[in-house]
Amino acid sequence: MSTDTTAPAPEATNPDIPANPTFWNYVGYWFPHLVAFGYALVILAAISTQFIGTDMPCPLCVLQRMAMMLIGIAAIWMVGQARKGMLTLAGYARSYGLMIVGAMLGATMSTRQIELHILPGDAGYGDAVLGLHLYTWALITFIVVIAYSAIMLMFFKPTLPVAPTGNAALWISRILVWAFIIIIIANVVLIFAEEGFAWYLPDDPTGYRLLNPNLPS
Amino acid sequence: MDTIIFIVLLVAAIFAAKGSPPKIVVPLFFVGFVLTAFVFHHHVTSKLDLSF
Repeated sequence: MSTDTTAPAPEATNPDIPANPTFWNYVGYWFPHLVAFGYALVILAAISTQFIGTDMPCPLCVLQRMAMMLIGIAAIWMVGQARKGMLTLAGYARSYGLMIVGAMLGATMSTRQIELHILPGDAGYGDAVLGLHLYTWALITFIVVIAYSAIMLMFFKPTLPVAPTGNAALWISRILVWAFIIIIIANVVLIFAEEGFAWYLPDDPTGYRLLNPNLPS
Repeated sequence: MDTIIFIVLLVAAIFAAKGSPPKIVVPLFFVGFVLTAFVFHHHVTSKLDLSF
């Protein structure tokens, strides 16, 4: 049995990676980090209103968090492939396609929630932030993601993500990606506490069903 | 169901962060997508009153 030690590195077998990356290749690499980390901060802010403002997340709010995570997953997938030197133009387009799909689902859900509170005199659900409710801000972010993905796809060749060399860039990338994953873990715990062993969240949650099973469903 | 979806998304995120191949990440993504859409459909239709 022989071991092939002459196999070329993935970078050498990926014809889509430019020999001399430009500024725009690095922009294409760091922008998906911003998307995933930005959504991690948005969800962290939503979680903080759960504890500081005691606003329990309603089912539609939780569904919009899921859509944000779908978008973030597509973004960090791009980063993961770029770090391994395996991101092709096809993989790049596929990742942005998934981001658009996730953003469309999220936009549908936040539009639904806006419509529920669209009548004059309706105070909306939860507290407003800078004059808009969280679900309205969510719709704005989903539209921005769709527009951003479309623009990046228009310029797919010069912006193919290339991971910078050096340990500092690698660690910054790892921290941003893991911050996003930790936010998902936090949601697994918090939503399990809120939902308990029921199949669905109540329409107007008032507490944690795992801790208090007598709460209305 | 929501907890299950978050667990699916967590698994998908871990594989995505590792730069796993599309045959792993894309199905996990769409399992999460379909389950999310299913729960959304449930919340939209469960309290519908179409009697006018």
